[in-house]
Amino acid sequence: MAATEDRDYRLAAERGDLPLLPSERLWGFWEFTYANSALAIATWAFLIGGAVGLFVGPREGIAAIVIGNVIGVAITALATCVATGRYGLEQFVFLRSAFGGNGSRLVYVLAVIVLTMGWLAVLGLMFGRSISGLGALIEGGDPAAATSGGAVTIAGVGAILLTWFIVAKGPTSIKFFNMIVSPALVILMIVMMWLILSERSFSELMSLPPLDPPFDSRAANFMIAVEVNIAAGMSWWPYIGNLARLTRNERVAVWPNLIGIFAAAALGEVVGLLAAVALGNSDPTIWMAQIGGVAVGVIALGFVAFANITSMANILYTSVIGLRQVSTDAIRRLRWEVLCLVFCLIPLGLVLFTPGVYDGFFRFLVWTSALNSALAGIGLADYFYLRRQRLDMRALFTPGHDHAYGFWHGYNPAGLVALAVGVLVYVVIFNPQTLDHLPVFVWLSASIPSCVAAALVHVALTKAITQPRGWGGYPRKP
Amino acid sequence: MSTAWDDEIERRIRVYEELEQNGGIAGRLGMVDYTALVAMVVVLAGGFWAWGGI
Repeated sequence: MAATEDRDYRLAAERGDLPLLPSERLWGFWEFTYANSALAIATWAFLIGGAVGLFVGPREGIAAIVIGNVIGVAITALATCVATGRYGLEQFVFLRSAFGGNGSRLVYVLAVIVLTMGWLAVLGLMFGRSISGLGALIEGGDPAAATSGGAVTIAGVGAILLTWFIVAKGPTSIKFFNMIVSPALVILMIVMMWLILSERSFSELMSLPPLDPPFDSRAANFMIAVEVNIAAGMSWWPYIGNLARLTRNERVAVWPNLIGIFAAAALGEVVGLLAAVALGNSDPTIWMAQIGGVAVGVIALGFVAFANITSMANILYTSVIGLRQVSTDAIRRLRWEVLCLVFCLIPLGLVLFTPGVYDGFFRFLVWTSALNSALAGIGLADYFYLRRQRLDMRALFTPGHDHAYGFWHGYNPAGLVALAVGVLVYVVIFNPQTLDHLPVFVWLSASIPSCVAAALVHVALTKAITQPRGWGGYPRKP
Repeated sequence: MSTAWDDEIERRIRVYEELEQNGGIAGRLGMVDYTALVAMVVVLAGGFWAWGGI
């Protein structure tokens, strides 16, 4: 095979158009640990930690952060990384085995586009608030008074356009930002932790009350904090499968998530939680100025503002790469820059017309868990139980619907009904908008019942409907 | 008619098929991995529930 042709195919495989061969995988254990730590150690960790401080005090909050993240990350890693790590498949190509080709497209729209667009808007607004607060600090004003208004909106729009510009330039510019921002964020976390502990002792911190508990029941408030963190752990569902396919084997694809994503995100959240509760405000753009004074506050806010750009560039790039796998030929023919800009239009609209999305971001995060928990349950049931961890790769790459994974017009009704049931179970047990919940929520959360219900429905419908019709290429047993 | 692209997909699929038939897929997660993963989740979740939970 000619060298140029070989390089082209390798590039196509890296972009997800072909399965990566074992010899083409880039990352060993530590490379993957570093890469997903860079993704996890981001400004959203401060936001989530601060939100936890609304519901519970620091001691319960730290427990909720560890419990929620370890459960969420472990379930998500098993559901996405084992198969993509074994076969080198792009995640939404792999999902054709559970949902069909068109079903995989639908899942992409629901899980990736909605989630990524929401995060782009939230992080864009956080950039705007950081810049606005920074300006207020320099002028000797109160940064807390500069968290809304035209300056925030303009800076938020500027953040999204800057992200578009970076991603349009390609992955090299993203890697450059990652290399600077990730280590610096670790240093910033350590400095913040040191400043907090220099003002209050650990035991004093542990006895502080929550900022704004919604219920009288401590058990309900604690489980809401756990649920926010399960949602945070599961919010990696759209992204980590496509990172895991770059690893050398499935063991390397799974374990680093427990070090990188779980531990790194938990550390950032704990800093956000302690700062929020100690200083009485869950918004990192405010407590960073309060904690460090003018000089440290200006550096921290300026740094956090641009760290948001790195986070935004990472998720925009991953999402647009996935979009190429699930879209039509007409969309694939669009120039890369244009495709990225089209993806940014709705986040720009959110920043301009619904800036309140920032204050309610944890509700948005929990809504995404209604979907991600059901998707994870279906993924686990389909790949581990129904398929016994064996995929028909030829069917995954055959166009049209006349093959094992064609199901019904490209949709697997069992998977899609199971998804709907999982989401329904979630919102019946726990309403992310109002935080109202059934009594069972306090013991089981909402994500775990949703995950289990989706898995059970998927298995039952597959046995009752899918297998008898010969759809899906499932083995005769189980 | 087969194209070069189809041939390349087929070549890559065969690599994995041969690895599966020969049991040559390296680094597969085994019972030890799954047990350790579940134990880690149970110990961390249970331990922190006991320490800071309600």
